Amino acid sequence: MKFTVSSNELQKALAKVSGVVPSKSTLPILENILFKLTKNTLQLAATDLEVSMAASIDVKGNDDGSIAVPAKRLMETIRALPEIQLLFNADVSSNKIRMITDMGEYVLMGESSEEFPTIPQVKGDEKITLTGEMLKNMIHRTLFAVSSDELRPAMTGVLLQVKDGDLRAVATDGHRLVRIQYTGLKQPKLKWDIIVPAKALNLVSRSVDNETNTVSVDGTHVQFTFGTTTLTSRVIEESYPNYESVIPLDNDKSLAVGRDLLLAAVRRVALYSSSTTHQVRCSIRKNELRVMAEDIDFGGEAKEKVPCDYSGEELEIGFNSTYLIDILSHLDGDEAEFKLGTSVRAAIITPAHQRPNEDVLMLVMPMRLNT
Amino acid sequence: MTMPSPKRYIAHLDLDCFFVSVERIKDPSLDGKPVVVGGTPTGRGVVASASYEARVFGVRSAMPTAATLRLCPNLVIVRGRFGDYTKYSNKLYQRIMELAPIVERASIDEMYFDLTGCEVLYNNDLPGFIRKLQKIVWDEFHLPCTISLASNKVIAKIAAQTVKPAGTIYVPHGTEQEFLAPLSVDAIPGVGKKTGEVLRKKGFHLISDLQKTSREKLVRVLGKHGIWIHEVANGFGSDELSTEHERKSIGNEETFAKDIADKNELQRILLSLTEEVCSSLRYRHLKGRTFTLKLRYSDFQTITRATTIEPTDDDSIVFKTMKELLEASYTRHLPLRLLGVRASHLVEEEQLELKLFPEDMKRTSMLNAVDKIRKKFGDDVIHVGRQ
Repeated sequence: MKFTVSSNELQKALAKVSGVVPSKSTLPILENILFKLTKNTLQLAATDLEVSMAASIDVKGNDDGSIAVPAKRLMETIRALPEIQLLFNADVSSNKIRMITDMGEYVLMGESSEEFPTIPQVKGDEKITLTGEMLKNMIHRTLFAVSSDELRPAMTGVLLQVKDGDLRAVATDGHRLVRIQYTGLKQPKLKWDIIVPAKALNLVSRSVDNETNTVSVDGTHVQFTFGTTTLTSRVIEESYPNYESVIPLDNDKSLAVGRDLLLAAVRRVALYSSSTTHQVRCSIRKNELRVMAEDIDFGGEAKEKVPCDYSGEELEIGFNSTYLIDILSHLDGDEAEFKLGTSVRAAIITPAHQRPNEDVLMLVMPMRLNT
Repeated sequence: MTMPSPKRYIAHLDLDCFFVSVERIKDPSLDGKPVVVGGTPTGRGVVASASYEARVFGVRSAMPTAATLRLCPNLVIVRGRFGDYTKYSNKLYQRIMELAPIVERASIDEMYFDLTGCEVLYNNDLPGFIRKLQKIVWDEFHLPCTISLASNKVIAKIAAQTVKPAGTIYVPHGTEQEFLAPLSVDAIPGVGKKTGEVLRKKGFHLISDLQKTSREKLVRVLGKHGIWIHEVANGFGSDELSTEHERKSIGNEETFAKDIADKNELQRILLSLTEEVCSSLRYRHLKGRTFTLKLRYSDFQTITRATTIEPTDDDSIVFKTMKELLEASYTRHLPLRLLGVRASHLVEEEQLELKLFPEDMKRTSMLNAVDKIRKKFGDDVIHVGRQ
């Protein structure tokens, strides 16, 4: 196997797939990147058995073949090189790899490509098309609410639901929830219900550019394709909790508040909240929202007033400031709208102005106040 | 450098039927009546605290409320608010801190304090001081309590139980064995129903029977637990208090009789340590945020590794975390002599976030049910599995 490539081009391609390579694996072969040369196309692939990525670049090929290359050493070498032509020459019978430049020669030992796991391919035509921006935004605004509790595997991913030409992305960790709905998909007949692991979405948002992307699904895998790069992930085969049933429908108190103002106030006040509970207390009355916190252990307290538009009954409600900050910082627009019920009922938070074809809803459970 | 340690004076303050006493402060008409604080009799509530008037009828903690009404038809059942009890307990703790240099809060209604070195301060009459203190607690807080004074924590604890309610007792240094001798083996903390039965079957009825036997024999009968029982029976026990600052953690560790390298065996021990820590968290109505694993190799190298997760008291979540820590940190090819699990950054359960999904609430009741079963039938009869 033999080809010539610019070190910069190779580095770009490696950067795309290297995020998947596990740093420490019980299966050492996974710490390699698979190189496969077919004429003038080099395909690079990496997998951790859950998520796999593949990318292709153009090279000047001499001799087809494939070999698994140790990811860490390879990347360190390429990163340390200036822009230079590199001759990659692997002897697939002995797995010895030589990389030759004008400056010198680097020899490392690879592994047989046959040892490398097969990268799953999603076949079939169940696919939707999204713009890169839409995909990025969707991931950015859902991923923060995903649970890290592996005892509830369903919640460690984002639910993607396609139905009647709508796409819904849902994330929750049992304390807060995000639901984003897009209308007007071009594939009105599709119907999906898949849970995509957080790791896969993280990698997608890192590698996606602003081109059009396709997302395709078969029974056990989901595949994101952008340009010549594909990311394939196993889906989480669990049933997602019934999230619709926990969204309150009759929260009758509306509060409109400047998002940045409230976010900044909560950030400051939260510095004085208890380091174990992170609780902030919101005391809401006609056109006035007070945010308060106290840390009994260290004797600190803080309060701020934030102007708002509110005409409902007076309400005292406690929140975990971390959750509130998360939600407010992932919400679009200048103004946030809260729909509140009682002090123990979930609060609904939406942007006052939704983007076209989009409906964003965030939910956070309050904390009990100890009066 | 070590100094010869002076005689230690450890006091134990145990609030008598604490929850009921708080309810009586809020509603004095409950005075003198048989009262319990607990869940509703129509539901599946249990008694959290029973007044001494109710105990006369055989009503005890952890009984289903419905059953107590059959024992005592005039019983007054109060729902109770946990937050109130925490408030009273905090206030009392603050007050005791003014009077004793080192205070350990063992639970919401129990504390230990170290009066060593305070003899002169209290007129060289510490037994007189604990009687005065009992009056202070009543005058300032309207809470009845029992206070004991002894050379270590476990003797103080046992002594308090013998004079409850509203008693005080002093066990002078050197008289511990004599004091313990006539008591039943059940008086030793940690001797539950099961251990009690085992001991009686072997002819140990009173602590004096335990004093006459050798430590080796007790170890043969009870395993490792026998070492502790033998020490207590002979009047030895810890006089180290963990103050509020450190008390912000709950932990448990086990030194093995023989060093262990077998991973399955280590995991089994880890599970039982985790279960005890979690059960203790639930008992104190706390959840831990940081969980620390401690392991000691046979060459005494000791490693601790901690991880911070969402506050929890759930056995399976903590066990999973601990197992991962063990896998990551047990790297040397040497057997282990000790494993330990500790929960810290404790959060009061009441203040925690409410849950979105009703199934999360069900898990809480399931764990409480597991605790009750363990309490009744022993720790090994039930384990929490994966969902």
